[in-house]
Amino acid sequence: MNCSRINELLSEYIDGQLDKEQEALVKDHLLLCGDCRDEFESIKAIVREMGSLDTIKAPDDFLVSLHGRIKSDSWFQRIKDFLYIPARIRIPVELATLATAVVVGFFIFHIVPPMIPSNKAPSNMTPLNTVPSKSPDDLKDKKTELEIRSSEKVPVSGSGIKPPEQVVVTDKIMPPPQKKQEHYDREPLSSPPSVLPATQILKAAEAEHISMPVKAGGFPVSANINEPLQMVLLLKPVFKKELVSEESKDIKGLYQGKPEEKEADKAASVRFKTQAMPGVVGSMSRAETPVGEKLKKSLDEEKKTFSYQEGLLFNIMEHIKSAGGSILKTDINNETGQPEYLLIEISGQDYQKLVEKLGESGKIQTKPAGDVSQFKEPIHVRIKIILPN
Amino acid sequence: MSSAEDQNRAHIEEDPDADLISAFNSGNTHAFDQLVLRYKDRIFNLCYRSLGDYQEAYDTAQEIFIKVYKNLQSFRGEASFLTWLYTIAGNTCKNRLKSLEYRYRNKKVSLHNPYNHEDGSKDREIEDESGSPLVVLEKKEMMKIIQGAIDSLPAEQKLVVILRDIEGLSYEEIINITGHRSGTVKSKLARARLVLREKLRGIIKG
Repeated sequence: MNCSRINELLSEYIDGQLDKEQEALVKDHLLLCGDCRDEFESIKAIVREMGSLDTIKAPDDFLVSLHGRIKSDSWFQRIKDFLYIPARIRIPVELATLATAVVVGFFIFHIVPPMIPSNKAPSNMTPLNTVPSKSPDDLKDKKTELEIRSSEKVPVSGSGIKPPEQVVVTDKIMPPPQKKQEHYDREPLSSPPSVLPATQILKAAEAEHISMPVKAGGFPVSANINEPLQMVLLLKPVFKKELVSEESKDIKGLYQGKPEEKEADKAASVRFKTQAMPGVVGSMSRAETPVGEKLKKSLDEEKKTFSYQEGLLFNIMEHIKSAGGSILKTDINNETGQPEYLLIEISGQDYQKLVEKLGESGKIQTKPAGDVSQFKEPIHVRIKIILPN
Repeated sequence: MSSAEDQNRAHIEEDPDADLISAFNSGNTHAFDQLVLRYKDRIFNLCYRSLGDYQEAYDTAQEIFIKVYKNLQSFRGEASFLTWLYTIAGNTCKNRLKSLEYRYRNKKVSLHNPYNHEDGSKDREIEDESGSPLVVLEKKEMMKIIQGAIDSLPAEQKLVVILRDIEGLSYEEIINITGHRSGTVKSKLARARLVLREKLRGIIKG
């Protein structure tokens, strides 16, 4: 056996782990080989030195400290076990997905505010358009039920036209939009209507039992879309030169109601007075401001002059006609002789034009608000006219 | 009753710690204290020789006994309690060495100057009960060098040589503790001794 093999067995030889045959071989070799004997002695010294190393004892507070750690560790384990309870419960993926969908759905339909169509005016603008979701047939049926009435004989609530439930009112008067969303980007082509206090409109609405809650942003809280559009027109004071435009047309052509209604309405509404309204700057004579060929002829024959209120009414009629609308009936207050209501018919496409035209005469509030530009069939608009003080 | 169960019962009955283990499993927590007091120094020494750092040895020894406390009820007595305890200690030390290998690779234990920590605490001094200051200094230096040589060993070789040459366990016990075969244990022990012989050549003379 060579020295290399002997060296491999020296460790076991020291520990007495060799069998008797190997032990005898190593023992005989060590007697003969000095190098291997030195190697054996050095390893034996290492083993002896390792065994003679002092035992590093644990400190005296070891047990006390161990008790503290066991106690704190048990509390930590309790907390950890408590926190890991959900992780131990196996939840099916399908159930987790369903629960997530329910939470998201609840968030969308109960927490997120209602989405506003993109074609509506921004929050700082007064909505002027409305979307009545009634069919054209319904409108025709409603049209046959309409009658010319006076405010004394037939109260508003009993006229078959239910008063609007809610009308959006803001103190800001914004110019009517020109074409859909273009008005957001540029100034309106026509001059904006003058600003009048909304309180007057509110008073008029109260008189008509119209609830007009104001909501931030100017959008209606709710709207009854089965009724005709409700419009309140607060006329602004005008000078006589502004009262009737040069493009005046035949006023009679505006009437499309029944013949007897036309005659009665004409008799009630086109009652010209001989004297101008006192204190009104805009009082004028018929000769100074023509309003229509037939009317002019009639006035020439009777040599009467317009009252200020009548001039305003004619001006409104012109606007309605120029916008493509037609007047179905007109209500005149018998006591004051002033027009109070107009029921007109106009296509949805021309409604915006009507709003713009009437906006030149004063402040307008409509209910409900919305966009009827896509509504090609005729719609009805009931206009409450408020004359300036 | 099977022969395996008889063998386990024989192990437990022969184990000098069987009474304490049985008492602990019966709810007597003081029995655990007795076990700690009985083995804390040996385990602490094993930890210190394995890790080469007093504070690390302290923490690791406590961790070992906490594991014993938690798992003593599951001890079935297939081997002696000492073997089971050393198995836990060996694995815990190896894991601690792995996690702190870089940090403690070149760290040496301070035997003469207490190291002041930032919190004001000091490293514990290892007591020396020998005679003159010169002898004490020489012995401390010797221990420092020897511990450095032990630290340089691979983990498996280190554990085997500590268990055999420092703790004085038998080959059979080391095999049970490490789970290695007999030849593997002998081989690792032989290599470890040769490394130590090389490291300590000129310092420890035969």
